[in-house]
Amino acid sequence: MSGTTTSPLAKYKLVFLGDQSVGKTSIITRFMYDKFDNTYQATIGIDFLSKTMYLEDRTVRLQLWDTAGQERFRSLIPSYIRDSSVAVVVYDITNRQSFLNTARWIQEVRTERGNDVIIFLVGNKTDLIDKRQVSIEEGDAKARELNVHFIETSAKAGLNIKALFRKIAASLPGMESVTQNKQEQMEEVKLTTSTVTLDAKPPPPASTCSC
Amino acid sequence: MHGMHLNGQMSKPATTDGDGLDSLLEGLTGSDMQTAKLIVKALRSSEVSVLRGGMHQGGGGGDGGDVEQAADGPWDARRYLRWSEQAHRDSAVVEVDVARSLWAFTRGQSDEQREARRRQLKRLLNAVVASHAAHGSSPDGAAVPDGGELLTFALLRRLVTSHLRDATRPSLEPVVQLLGLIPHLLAAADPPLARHLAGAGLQPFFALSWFITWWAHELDDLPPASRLFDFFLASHPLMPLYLGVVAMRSQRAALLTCEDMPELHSALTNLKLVSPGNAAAAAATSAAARPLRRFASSGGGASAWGRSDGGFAAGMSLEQLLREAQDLWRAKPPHTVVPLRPARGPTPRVHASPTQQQLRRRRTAESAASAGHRAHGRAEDALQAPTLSVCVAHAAQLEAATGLWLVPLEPPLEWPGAMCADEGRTGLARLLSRASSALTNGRSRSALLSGALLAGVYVAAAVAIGYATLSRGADGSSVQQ
Repeated sequence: MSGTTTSPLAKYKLVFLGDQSVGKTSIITRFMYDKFDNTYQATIGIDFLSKTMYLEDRTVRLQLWDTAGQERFRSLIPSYIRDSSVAVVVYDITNRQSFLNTARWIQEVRTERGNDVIIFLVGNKTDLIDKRQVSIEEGDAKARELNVHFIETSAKAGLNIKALFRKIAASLPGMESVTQNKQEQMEEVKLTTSTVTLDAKPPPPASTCSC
Repeated sequence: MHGMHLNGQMSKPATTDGDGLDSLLEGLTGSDMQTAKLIVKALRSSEVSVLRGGMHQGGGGGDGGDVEQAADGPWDARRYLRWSEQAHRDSAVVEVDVARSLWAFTRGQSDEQREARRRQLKRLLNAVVASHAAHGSSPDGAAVPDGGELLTFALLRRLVTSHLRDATRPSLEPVVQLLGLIPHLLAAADPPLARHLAGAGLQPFFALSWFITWWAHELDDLPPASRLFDFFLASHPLMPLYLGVVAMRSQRAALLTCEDMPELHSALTNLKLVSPGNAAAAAATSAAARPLRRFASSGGGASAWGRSDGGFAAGMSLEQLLREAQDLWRAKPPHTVVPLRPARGPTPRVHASPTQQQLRRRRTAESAASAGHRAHGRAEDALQAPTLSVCVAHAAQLEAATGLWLVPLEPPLEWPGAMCADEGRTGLARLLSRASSALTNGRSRSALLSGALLAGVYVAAAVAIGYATLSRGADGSSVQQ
C-alpha cells in the first residue's frame, strides 16, 4: 500500500469508548501524565487531550477524545467516532457485562466508519487479579472474532499502557513499514500466578490482523 | 384555568402540617437547627414557590406540582428510607458514580467520613428517583437519616422537576438544545470571541456539565460550590449558561489563542470559575456568612450582589462573575436571544402561561392534537415542546405567580405579542417566545434562599455525579398518566 504522505506532525484522532467506570479516563491519564489518581469523578460529555508521540522515524500528534460511559451521553458520541481514525473500546476485566457490551460499541464504530478504522479492544484493571471475570483468552478470542486488536492493561499499575499506545501508533495509516521492523515491547501479566510480573516479551498471540 | 396563573397569587399550600418539613428538624442541634428552621421557614414562604412545590400537593406549584400529585403525597423519614432502598433502572449508574464522587467536596475528611457521605448521597439519589417513580416498596432500612439529609431530599426532589428538569430526562436532547443558546449569548457578551468560536466549528458539549451539574463538576472546593448553588437556586434555570458565557469572556485572551476546535473544546471543558487564590477567599467569605446569607433585593437591585464580597481577592472574583452573569441575563433574557417576529395569526387576547395540564400534555408529546387548539400551539410546537420547554416555560409560569425568577423591568418590544418565531428556526425560538409571553408581570424579584449549607454538600455532589440518572424516574410512566 502506498503510504499517504504525512507531514512530520501528522494528527490522528482517537476516540475512547466503553461502559461506565471501566477506566477510559484512567488509561488516558496514565498515558498523558504517567500517573494514576483514584479521585476521578465520572466524565461528563466529552473530554479532549492531545499528546505528541515521538516514534522511531517520525512524530505524530495523538488527539484523544475521552467519552463518558454513561448511557445517556451516548447520543453525543457518533460524531466523534465519525471523526476518528482509531477507536479504543475499553472494558473492565472484573465486570463481565462491560465486556459483553464491547460488541455493541464495536458495532457502533463499524456503523459509523465501516472498515476504515482501527479498533482496539482493551481489557483494563488487570491489577485486580482476584476479581477477574473475563479471561485473557476470552478477550483475545473476541478480538479475533471481531477482527480488532487486543490488549490487556492496568492503568492503575501502569501495565501495558505504553504498549497500547505504541501498538496504536504502529497501526496508524502510513505506519505499516515501521511496524514490520519494530519489536514491540510488551509487559505481560502472568495470570497463572497471583503475582504480576513485568517481562519484556513479544506480545501474546494477540490480533495482528490489521484491517 | 390558566388565568389563575397569570393574575393570581400562587395558591397557598393546602397545609403545612403534612408537608413533611417538620421532620427535617429532627436530630439537629445548635446552629444547624437554626439554619434548618430558617430554611424550612423560607421553603414555606410564598417567595420560594419553586422549592416549596415539592412539599405540598397541587395548587399551582408549577408543572412539578402534578408530578407530586401523581407520584405521592406527603412523606416522612420512613418513607424516604423506603424510597432510598428501592431498586430502579439506574441503580447501577448511581452505584458507580457515587463510588467516585465527593472527592472535591470532602477534602480533609477521612475515608470513613467520605464513605458515610457517599452512603447518604446514594440514599438521596435513589430516593429521589424512587419517589418520582413511585412503585412498589421495600423493607425499612437500619439507617437513620438526619435532618440535613431529609432537607436535602426535599430540595433535590423539587429541583429535578424544576431547575434541573431538563437535565434529568432520559435523553440529552433537551439539554443539547439549551446549550445551543450559548453562541447567541456569547455573541451578545463578546462578539469577537463568539466569531472565533463559531469559526472553529465547535459543538457546545463542553458546557454540558455547566448545566447538568451546576458547575459542581468543575469546582474543586465546597465553598464556591455552595455559593454558586445559592445563586442558581435563586436564578433562572438557564443562569448556569449565562455564567459560563461571562466566564468565557473573562478568559477570552486564552480562548482566542486556541487555534482549532479540539483545543478550544479542551480549554472550555477546563474553564475555571475560581482561580486557586480566589477559592481561599471565597472560603473565608462563605464561612463568615453562615448560617443564612440573605440577599433579598427587591426592585431592580442588582447592586445588592456586589456589596458583601469584600472577602474576595482582586481580579475577576466569583462574585464579580455572578454579577456579570446576572447583568447579562438582564440584558439578554433567554427569550430575546433568538430572533422573534410578530405573530402572524390573530393575537390571543390573553397570553396565559401554560397550565400544568398543558405542560403535561407537551411532555407527553403524543398529544399534539390536544395542544393544537391553543392559539399558538400548532401541532409541531407540541412536538417540540417536550424537548426544550420545560425549564423556561416553567420559570415563566412561576414568575407569573410570585416566582423567584428575575425578570427585566421593561418588557422587550416583541413581548407579549410575539408568539411566533422565525419559522426557519428550531422550536427553540417559538418556545422561548411563548414562554416569554407568560412573563407579563414585569417585576424584578430576587429572593434568595442562601446558606443552604446543610444541603449544599449533598446537592453539589449529587448534581455533580450527573443526576442525569434521575431522569427516568422523573419522566416515568407514573408521571404521565
